[in-house]
Amino acid sequence: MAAVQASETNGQYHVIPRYVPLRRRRGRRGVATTVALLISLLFFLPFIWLLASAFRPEMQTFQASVDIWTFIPRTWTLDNFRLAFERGFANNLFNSLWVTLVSAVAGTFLAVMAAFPLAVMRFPGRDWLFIGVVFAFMIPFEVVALPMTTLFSQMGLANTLTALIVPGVVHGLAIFNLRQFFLSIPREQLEAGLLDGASWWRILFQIYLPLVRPAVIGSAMILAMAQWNAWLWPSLIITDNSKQTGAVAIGLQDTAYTQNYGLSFAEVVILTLIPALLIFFGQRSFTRSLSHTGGK
Amino acid sequence: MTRLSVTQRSSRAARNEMRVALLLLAPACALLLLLRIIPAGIAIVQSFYTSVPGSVIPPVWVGWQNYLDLFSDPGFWDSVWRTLLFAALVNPLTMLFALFLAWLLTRNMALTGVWRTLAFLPTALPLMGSTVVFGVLMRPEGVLNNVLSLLHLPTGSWFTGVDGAMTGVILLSTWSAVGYWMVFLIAAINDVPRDYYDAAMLDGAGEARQFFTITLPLIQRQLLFVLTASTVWNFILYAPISALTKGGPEGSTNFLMYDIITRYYTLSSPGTALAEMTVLFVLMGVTVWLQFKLLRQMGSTT
Amino acid sequence: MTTPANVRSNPWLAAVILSLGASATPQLFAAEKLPAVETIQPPAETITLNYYGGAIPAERANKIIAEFEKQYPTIKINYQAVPANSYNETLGARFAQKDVDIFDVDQPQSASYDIRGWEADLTQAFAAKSHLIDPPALKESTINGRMVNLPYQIGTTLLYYNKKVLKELGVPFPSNKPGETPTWEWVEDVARKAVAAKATPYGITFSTPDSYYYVYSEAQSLGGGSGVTGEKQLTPDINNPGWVKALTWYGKLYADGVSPRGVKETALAFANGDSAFFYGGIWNAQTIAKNKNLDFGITSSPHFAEGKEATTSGGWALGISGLSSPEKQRAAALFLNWYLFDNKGGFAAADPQTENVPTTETTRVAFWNNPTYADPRFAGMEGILSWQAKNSAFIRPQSVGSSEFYQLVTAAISDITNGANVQKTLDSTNAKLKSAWRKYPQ
Repeated sequence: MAAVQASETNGQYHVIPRYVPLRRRRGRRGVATTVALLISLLFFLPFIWLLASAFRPEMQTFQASVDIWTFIPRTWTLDNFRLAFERGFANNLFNSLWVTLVSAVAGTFLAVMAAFPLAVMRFPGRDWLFIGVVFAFMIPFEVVALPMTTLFSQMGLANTLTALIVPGVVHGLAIFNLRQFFLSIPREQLEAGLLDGASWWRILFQIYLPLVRPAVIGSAMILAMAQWNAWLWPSLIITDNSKQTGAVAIGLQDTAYTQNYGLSFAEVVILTLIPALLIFFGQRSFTRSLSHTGGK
Repeated sequence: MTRLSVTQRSSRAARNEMRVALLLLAPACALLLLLRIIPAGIAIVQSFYTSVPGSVIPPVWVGWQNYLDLFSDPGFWDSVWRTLLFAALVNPLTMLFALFLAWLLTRNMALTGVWRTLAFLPTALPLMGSTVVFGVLMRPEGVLNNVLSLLHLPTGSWFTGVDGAMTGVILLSTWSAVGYWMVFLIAAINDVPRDYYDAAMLDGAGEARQFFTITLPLIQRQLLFVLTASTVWNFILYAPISALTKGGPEGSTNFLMYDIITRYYTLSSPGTALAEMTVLFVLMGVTVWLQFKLLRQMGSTT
Repeated sequence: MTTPANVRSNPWLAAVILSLGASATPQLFAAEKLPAVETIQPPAETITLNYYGGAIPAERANKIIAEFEKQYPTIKINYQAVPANSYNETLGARFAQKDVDIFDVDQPQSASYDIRGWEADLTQAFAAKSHLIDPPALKESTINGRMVNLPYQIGTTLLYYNKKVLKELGVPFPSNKPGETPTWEWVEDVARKAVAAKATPYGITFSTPDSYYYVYSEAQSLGGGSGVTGEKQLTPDINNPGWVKALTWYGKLYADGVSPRGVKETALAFANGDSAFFYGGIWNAQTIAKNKNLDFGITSSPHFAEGKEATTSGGWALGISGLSSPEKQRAAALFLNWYLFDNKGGFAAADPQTENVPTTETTRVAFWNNPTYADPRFAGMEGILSWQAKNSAFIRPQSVGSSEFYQLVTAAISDITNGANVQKTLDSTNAKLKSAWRKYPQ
């Protein structure tokens, strides 16, 4: 925000500069930063504990007393991470990455193709179909899980990465999200395109799509996060431990008698890093405002 | 070339429009059929039988008995009421917190990228991980209670107490989801044209006034999306209950989704479980529909 | 069970039901009994079996399998771990995909798996060898006179105590001679003193705080029985006076702060020195012994002064899938035979980290060679475990409704530790069990 807050003049009005004193401006910024700092710290506390636990022997993690050593390892060790890679967690990580990537790309494409007619095009039964699509995808996965397992087995897709990708490619919220954005684009764009004699495909991909880039990335994120953290479906359909995704693989080292918490924490940290990095480097591209200049 | 009459052209255009629309929708609808309609159909048929999952015993037809058994079970009604209570508490809380964070992290300050990533981290954590973490941190003698007593705030029994357990699950759910929804709301807030704020500042409006008169109405659509999506997500929440409370203590966190899974797999009553599933689905549908109506009433629709 | 008329006349419905994973044909296999294992020849061509397990980590299972494959090169076994905290459900999904040849069975689930048709009948296969198995273990794996799986573990509980804390309190160490059992009253007394004196945060911790396994010995000691009665083991009896008394005692420990609420990682707590007593099994030994600085000792599983000696029993077993082809079942039988009866020590020799006592003499010899158990802090353990297995072991209920039983009883115990009224909770659990078990043939 500028130090001088002025409005546009059209010649008839005076420019009314309002100077905000420099000190007060810096103070406001300082307060905002401090508040953010405090909230983030409390919010981040479980994560600090998790990180510390991944870097120390599990016995130290479960001490009864609560003190500074709860959050800072007394003995630092990389054993947990080493063990993770020794038991082949890298494989599971790669499976997760591959499945998530393919699902996000294919799924976004599908969501765009489905959201556009539901928002912009006109045909009988459109709104009912929209409600139907979104509600159908609200059917919780857990309940259709067993019949779906049988279905996929009979199609010969049991224990394949394809079986992991296919259910992750359609997501009701991704379609819903894109539809909302498509709806917010003024109809003039469409009418202009139709007047120019453009086909629907051109209108979708050359006119509308560039205008909803944040929604595209948002829907990709919905699809990606759903796949990255998916648990029940991979645990049912994948029988080979080496083909398993990361989220489920973490629990595979637990047995009736043994549970290596340190190892679990290390693997959890590894699995969290990737979405975190993606968000860090990508967050500006889909939180950036889209220009609402319309027309042109 | 003969010019087509206006009516002929528009009906041809309309037919073309419908054809293209259906073509575009075909993949999604095909997958919808395969991934939801058919399995759900099988599941609904199953709700009229009793069977033992994975077993070689063939299922036995019982008609509406599963539904009747369900409705006469007081535990079921308890579940329904608790699920609704949970939904009524957790969704507004999550949404308000996400909105606050989104507003805060679109203000002018240092390192917004870092803050946003930090806020998003809980979502990136696999739910299995966050449940173990919360399980340990929320022990009666654990970190959270220690911090609370340090700040002179009341401590709780969390997952070991009848009252504390639902609160604990609410906290876990909010913590895990808030960063995710925040990202959408940040995009929505950034969407609002600067011109509106500039005009408001000219009129002498402060930050709060600007938020309520400009930001809020203009991000309504996204807000509705977040509320709906969060509601759906919380209705089908299962992993934290299964890992931390197993529906207890004394059934205080026995939400419908957990009850359904337990009935299906552990108590080997898939018929009753699927009858319950239908009820949950109807509840979800009604809640979402109500939210749509409410928000539509509150503001102008576009 | 006969197909209802409306299914026979409606082919679509029939197809749907078939797709529910219930296959008619494999029942033929389930009916066939495996021949005596001594008559089985290793297959001429290489055969691959799928082994789904949840008892030990995959690395160790693969080591055991490697040893076996050295002796039987034409039998390849593919081990895949199943998530332990949803073991029954996920195993069910594997069976639905008809993918299973060998699998781990937690013994209390034996009858429940049997009614689902998952377990092949092993009576004839191991008829000549079954006398080598410890009788309580064999009993728990025998359902309706048939041996349904091969038990390779017989576990029983111990009391670990923190020597430093007892020294501080001036309490003499309990005996580690077999048959000289401390009383729960004494244990509780010392635990309370320890907490009051702030010698440790916790007085006594139990290996899994809401598990049936660690409270049923107390209930048996007070005459409460196993919680299930009846010829078919389908009559719930969890609210009898013995159980009420035992669980009231148990709940009071948590209410009074002698045992900590909300703490699941109790073995680690004891290993940290945070608990005066720890009621667990030999399977916790490796975790606890890892702390070289912990001064601890072990003694027998306690009993109530007014009650009888009662200790736990049972462990994991190996099952052969009733849905597999006969040749795969025969190959699997060879694996089971080697696992437990190989005269070099079978699985116990191949896996030095085995954490629970095996069920035959030869495997036990290999087991006790583990240097962990040579640790002087475990002095007396072998004698105690053998005595308990012979004299005071009670097996768990052998009910077809065991998965419902454990779900509901665990929830009840958990609620009781968190302060619920014992009589009310047990009464309601009993009622829920009755209704949950209605679907099984009474």
